[in-house]
Amino acid sequence: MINSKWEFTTASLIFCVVVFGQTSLSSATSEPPWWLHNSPRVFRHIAQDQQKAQGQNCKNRTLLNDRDKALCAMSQDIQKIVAAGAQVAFGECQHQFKMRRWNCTIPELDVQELLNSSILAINSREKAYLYSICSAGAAYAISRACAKGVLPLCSCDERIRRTSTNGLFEWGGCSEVLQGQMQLICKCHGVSGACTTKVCWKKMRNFRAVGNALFDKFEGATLVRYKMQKNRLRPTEKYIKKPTKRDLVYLQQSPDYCNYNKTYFFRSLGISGTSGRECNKTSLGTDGCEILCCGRGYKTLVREIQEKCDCNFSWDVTRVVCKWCIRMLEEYHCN
Amino acid sequence: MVGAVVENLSGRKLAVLGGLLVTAQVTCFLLGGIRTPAPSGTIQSLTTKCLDPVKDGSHDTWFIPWPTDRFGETLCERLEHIDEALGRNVTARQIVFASKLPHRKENATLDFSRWQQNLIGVLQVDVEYEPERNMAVLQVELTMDLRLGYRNKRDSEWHLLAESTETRTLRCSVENSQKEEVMGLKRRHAYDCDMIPLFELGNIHHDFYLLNIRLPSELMDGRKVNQNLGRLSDLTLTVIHGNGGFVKKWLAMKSAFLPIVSAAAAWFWARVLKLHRAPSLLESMLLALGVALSVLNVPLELLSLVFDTPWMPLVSDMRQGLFYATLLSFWLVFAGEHLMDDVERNKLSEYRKNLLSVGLGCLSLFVFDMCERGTQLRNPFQSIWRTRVGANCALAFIVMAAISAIVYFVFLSYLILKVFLNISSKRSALPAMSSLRRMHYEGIIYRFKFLMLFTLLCAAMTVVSFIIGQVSEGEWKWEDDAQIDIQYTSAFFTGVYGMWNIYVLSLLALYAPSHKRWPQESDTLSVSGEQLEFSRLPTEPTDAPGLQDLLQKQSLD
Repeated sequence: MINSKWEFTTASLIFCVVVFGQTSLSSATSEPPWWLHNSPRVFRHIAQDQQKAQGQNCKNRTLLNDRDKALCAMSQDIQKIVAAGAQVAFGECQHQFKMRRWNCTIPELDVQELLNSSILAINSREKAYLYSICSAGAAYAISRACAKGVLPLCSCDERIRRTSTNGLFEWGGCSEVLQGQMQLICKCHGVSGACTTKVCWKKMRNFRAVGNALFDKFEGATLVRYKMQKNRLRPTEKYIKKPTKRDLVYLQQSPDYCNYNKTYFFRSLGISGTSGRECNKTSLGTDGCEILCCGRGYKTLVREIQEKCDCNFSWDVTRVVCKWCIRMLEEYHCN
Repeated sequence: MVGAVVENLSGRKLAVLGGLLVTAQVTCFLLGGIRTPAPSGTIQSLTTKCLDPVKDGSHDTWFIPWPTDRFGETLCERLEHIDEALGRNVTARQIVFASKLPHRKENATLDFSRWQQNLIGVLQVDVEYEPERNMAVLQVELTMDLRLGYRNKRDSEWHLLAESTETRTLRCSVENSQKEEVMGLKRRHAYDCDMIPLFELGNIHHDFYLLNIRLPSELMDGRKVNQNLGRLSDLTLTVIHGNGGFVKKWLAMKSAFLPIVSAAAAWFWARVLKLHRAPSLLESMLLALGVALSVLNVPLELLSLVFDTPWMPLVSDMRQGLFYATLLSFWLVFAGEHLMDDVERNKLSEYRKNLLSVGLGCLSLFVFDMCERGTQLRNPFQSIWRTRVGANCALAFIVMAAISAIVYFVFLSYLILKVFLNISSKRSALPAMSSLRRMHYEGIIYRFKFLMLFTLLCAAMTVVSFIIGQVSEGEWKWEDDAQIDIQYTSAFFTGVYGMWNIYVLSLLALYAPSHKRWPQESDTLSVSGEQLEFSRLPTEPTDAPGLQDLLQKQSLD
């Protein structure tokens, strides 16, 4: 099953497995922190590793840490789930960055090229977001699979441990291990529905909520420097509040996303530029033509479009029944 | 009531007894608090979307989302997203939301245990927000074809447990925080819908359960349903089950209290019968309280380990109701019997007006419970709240029970107030009374005040721990408090249950007729001067020993 969709999935899988595994590294290790790893090199090795390991045992992979090896060895199921999660994550990223100069496009290169030369070479704010949304996507996909019961590997989060899983379940139940964007839901079920007995659980929210939250983190990300002596990250400016574990940090300023194919230390970054992008004439924000087109100006296009209108929403297979209307549309595209 | 133990007990004995009871109370609290799970747990199950290949297929097939064990189950054709069905010319009825419980965990096949007592299912509906439609609030009728099946480990196929077509109201709204307002529609994504109660099973008799839900767009009779549902993306079933660890400890506690309370009640009654007079009303009420508590203490739930007992919650509710009714009546009679207004009551019929509120309250709750749990015996998907008429009826019953409760407490407060007024008037008159008369009244006042204080303490503790429980349960408590390993909710249940057992026990022990007919013990004690004794005016000629005691004591002094 080699098609373009599969290619993309493979790339995102590699990407996500690395991120997913690395973020869980404890900060107390003697190794340099993961954000200092030379990421393209990591990707290259993983990619080679991946090719070598096709049909092989996960243990032979040199670059994966123990946790990743375990993850890799778990099952094809879990890899597929992580890949699907990565795709959801990229979709979300593109939705969130629709209105910005960098619109979360991953250059259309094959895996090797992508890993050799890409915007991922720079430890920028955008890369921090990509990493976070990607691991969030993987975690989300796995949580969903666990909640469906299709994945037999999910664990119980109960602290009281008994010998067997089944014994544990009888004793104290087994709820999902869930983290992050959750909503607390409670239900009363006492005598005659009275609230003497109440049980609460966490509900997974829509992934858009995760994307929104991470986008807020992206906007509040802090530029940091690595302090070798303390093995710690510190903000570059003294007056900036120290970032917490729940904030995004980055080490390098973002490259200029205005023009196509910027290079960075003689490497192509695979930046597509904003030329030809659609912009909003009236907006003063990042999606406004002034900012999005980097001052190059824009073209106005007037065309007739056919669109859905008077939609009748019904739960059925056809789902949305609409009429088609024709109207004139003004579009603005960057030069 | 004449001359109770409580008046004649020395301070030291009272302290020892009090210490024992406090120890028992702490034990009950710790029993639930330490190494015990919460009373109930949940399983969240995101339903798998299955495709029924047959357009007007018979309803006998089960759609199974994932395989369990060695019996090769035929799995359904799974859809990752409903849109996958779009181009395939399928009807809404052909999409089956399937959920099989419990889930596999840690590569082990889990199965339900009968210790887990009951199963309550609620449904969470995820509806996507549609910018084109731009509705902030969504309220629609959701019609579901529901099939609940079960299978045991040895069975090779699924059996039908219940089947029904149900309509529930779905209420959804878009989260509208300030941020969302500023950022506009881009950030709106999904409706936040109220959960829908789906089913309640009174016992878990089987190992595995399977739920199949269809959301047809047209019913068999041609009626169009589910038309305004919008973009429904997922159904999540959450089941609430009892936790075996808690149930085991709970039943152990009940079994331990059963012989103690029954023995205490028997001892109490034996003492009353020895008095050679007809038992007073208060004594009968105390016995009734002991019996009602013993009935509540019977670990009847053990039956569900062997037999299929869907009626268990109903019986449990009835037993609890019986106990509450007896306790409330007892308080009323106790206050009435201590009025000291020289009116001869001593008959239950004298209290019929006051007891009416208890009776009415309990009756309306009983009717409500029969309607809710009783109908669920036939159809677990049934709920009295489902229809408008039913919901109004249910509300009416609950309001009636609430009014009865208010009337009851007003009555009780009035009686207690009257007793206090009488006490103060009697107290001012006490010095002028003859010593025998004075001791009679002092005895009544002491007994009354003791019970008042004790009852208030118990009630206050119940209310306080209930409030703490409510607050702590509703908060985020999973995050960082891994060191504290006290399960508060369980401790609350065992603690409060233990407390009311101890309350009744001490009433039976302390308010039993005093054993003044064996004077040697009290003699030695009174000689040592450790105890302050009351004695009573003999109200009946048969109750002479009290007077004799007094005379003896005086001669000793």
